[in-house]
Amino acid sequence: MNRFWLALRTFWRTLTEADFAARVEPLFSDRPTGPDLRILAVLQRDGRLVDFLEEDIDGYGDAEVGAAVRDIHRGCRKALHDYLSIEPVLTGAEESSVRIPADFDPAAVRLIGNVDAKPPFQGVLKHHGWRVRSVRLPVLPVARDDSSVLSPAEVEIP
Amino acid sequence: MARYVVGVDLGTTNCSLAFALAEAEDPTKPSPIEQLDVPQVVGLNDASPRPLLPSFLYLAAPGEFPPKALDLPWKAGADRAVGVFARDHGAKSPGRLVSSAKSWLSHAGVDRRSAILPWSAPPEVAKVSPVEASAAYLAHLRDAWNAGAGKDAGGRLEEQEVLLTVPASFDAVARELTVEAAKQAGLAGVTLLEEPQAAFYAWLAEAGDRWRKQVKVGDVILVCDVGGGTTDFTLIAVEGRDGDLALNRLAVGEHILLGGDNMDLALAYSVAATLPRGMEGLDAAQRVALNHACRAAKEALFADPKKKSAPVAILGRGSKVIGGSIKAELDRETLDRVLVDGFLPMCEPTDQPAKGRRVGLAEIGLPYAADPAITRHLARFLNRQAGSLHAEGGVIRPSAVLFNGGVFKADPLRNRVLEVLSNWAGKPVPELRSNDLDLAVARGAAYYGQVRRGRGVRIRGGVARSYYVGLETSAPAVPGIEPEIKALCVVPMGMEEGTDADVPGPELGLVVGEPAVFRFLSSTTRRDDPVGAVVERWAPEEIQELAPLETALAVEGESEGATVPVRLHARVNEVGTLELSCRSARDDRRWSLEFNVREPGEE
Repeated sequence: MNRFWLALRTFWRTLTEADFAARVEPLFSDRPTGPDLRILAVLQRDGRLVDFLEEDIDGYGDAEVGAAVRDIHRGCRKALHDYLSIEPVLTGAEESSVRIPADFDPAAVRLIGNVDAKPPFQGVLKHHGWRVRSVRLPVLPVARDDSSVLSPAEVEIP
Repeated sequence: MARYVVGVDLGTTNCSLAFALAEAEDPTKPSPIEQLDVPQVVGLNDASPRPLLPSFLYLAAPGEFPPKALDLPWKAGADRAVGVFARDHGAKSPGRLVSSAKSWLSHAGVDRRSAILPWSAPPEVAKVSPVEASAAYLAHLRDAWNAGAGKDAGGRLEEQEVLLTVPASFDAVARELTVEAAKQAGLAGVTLLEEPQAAFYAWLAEAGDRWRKQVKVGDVILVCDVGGGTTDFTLIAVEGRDGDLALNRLAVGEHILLGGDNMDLALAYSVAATLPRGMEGLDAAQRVALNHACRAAKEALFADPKKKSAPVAILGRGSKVIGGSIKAELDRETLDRVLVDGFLPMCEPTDQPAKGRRVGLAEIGLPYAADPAITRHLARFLNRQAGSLHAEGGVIRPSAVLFNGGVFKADPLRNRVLEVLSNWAGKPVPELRSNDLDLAVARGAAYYGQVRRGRGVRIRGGVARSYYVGLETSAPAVPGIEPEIKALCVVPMGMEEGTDADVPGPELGLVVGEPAVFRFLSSTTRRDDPVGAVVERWAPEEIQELAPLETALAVEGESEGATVPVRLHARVNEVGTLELSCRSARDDRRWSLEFNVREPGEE
């Protein structure tokens, strides 16, 4: 990475583009912000994920949890697919054998078991992993994301 | 010169837009059709693309949302939203939600140019007219297009060839108002296309040259189009012409306000009936959730015929999703009873839909169909058209069916319609398979744009109704009784686009300086009346009265009160609307007749 060049470009675009400046500004802020929160807000909005994770479910029977989870699952799944394209890192079937070349990316593939074997590795695919192929976050810039609200309180006026 | 042909489906509950290059590389083949994903407000601070644009307009209250929360990439400071968020949020605050604008557009009982929507809005809401609401949806599509594909020079939607679809059952007034909405949205050069025809074009586009093998000369194809809010029937005949197959749109049905939304609502009500406190025990948001959950359960049951029931869960209203949740179940018996037997009952070809006012399902104001049985409406349509078409044996037996509308994604619903038609025909009636029931109309319209340029087969048919001007008879006036009228045919059914006709018959006298008002009528069944024919008597369901026609004669040169003899002149323009005018019998002056859509008796 040529940091000098990056710094110049950032300087210039921050100076000339309001949208770009609005996206840089949060980097200097301590407030919780950023794309991760947007995804979480969307999962709460469309699938009530935060409500679900924050609820104490010990007191409910399996049938009650099951019925609700179906709905939460449907909402979250749709939201996930609306905003992200997710695909397996490795395409083979799980529990089938897989060959990992010597120059594999340790961030994308994790070896377990006899990790000292000689490459290329011959192993069994235990979990195919996930990666994001494309992100379709809201069209609007992040600038307005200047708040810690994941989901607004709702008040009905009769 | 347009670069694209663009099909716009302006639906009662959803809009969509499809497009294709106007000039293909291979001039004999249509270009591939693409779909525009429409950016729209789907949540606060979230404008994201979706394949459909729900036809809902939410008029936000001042300060209701944070600043910029409804902004779109092309619009800052928005105080109204169109699309997913409008629909979802509006269900919880219905006083500011405009819905079913298209049904209002075709509702002759109200003034369609005045601000009446939302119908039940409190006084502080700045209401909009049905025309304005329709224009808002079209303007949203225009901006979405212009922000994406239209960014290049010459790419703006205003400069493209736009095909706008309307129900086949829309009369001349509703068509005129649709064109007016398009003009308000800056789309001055639209051409109208009937939705069932568009669905048929989509099928043709998909089938390619194979379509000639799937139908034969003499076939009559029924297009059964059940949208969110309307049911629309059309008959298309396959004819032989110069050794090739030709398509001719024979007949269209009347406007039936009954659709998939009614089905979903009926299902939600029957599931709510199993809850301890019924529908009354649910608040607005829970009712929406129930609707969604019922739709999901319906789809699950329709997708897997072995499943006996599907769970319906309404999550807790507060932050407790599981603790406050309400559980119910949709079983197959209920599903079949409510949807299949309720909306598509087995019936005889001679059955008629029940009359009378229906309570419960009706939204205030709109004249919803009294009988939810779509098959009985179909029986009535075929029956009436059989007489009109002088069909052999007095019945029409469609040789195949093309379905359209998201409702028909469910196999059991398509199968039931086929079963009913096969019973009537005494032999199996096959289905012409279409793949994309939600998006077919916009795609078909984009295909039609290419057909107009000579790439593909065109459905003929002309004007779907015959139109009449009412002439008062010279019967002695009886106080309190409206004088009887005779109907003078000014536009015969089947009159082609781009043609015009002088209306023969009596000279009429227009009084200078006074507005002249003509009663205006139409029929979907009287196909044998030539232009100039005078109909003295008709059955009540044969001819319906529409909004009156009006013109005012300026005094210019004539003395006020003088009478100018005129003849009527009719033209069907390329857009697909009517232009009626009076032409002076003495000189070449003319006065165009405009629809007066004000509420009857308002003056």
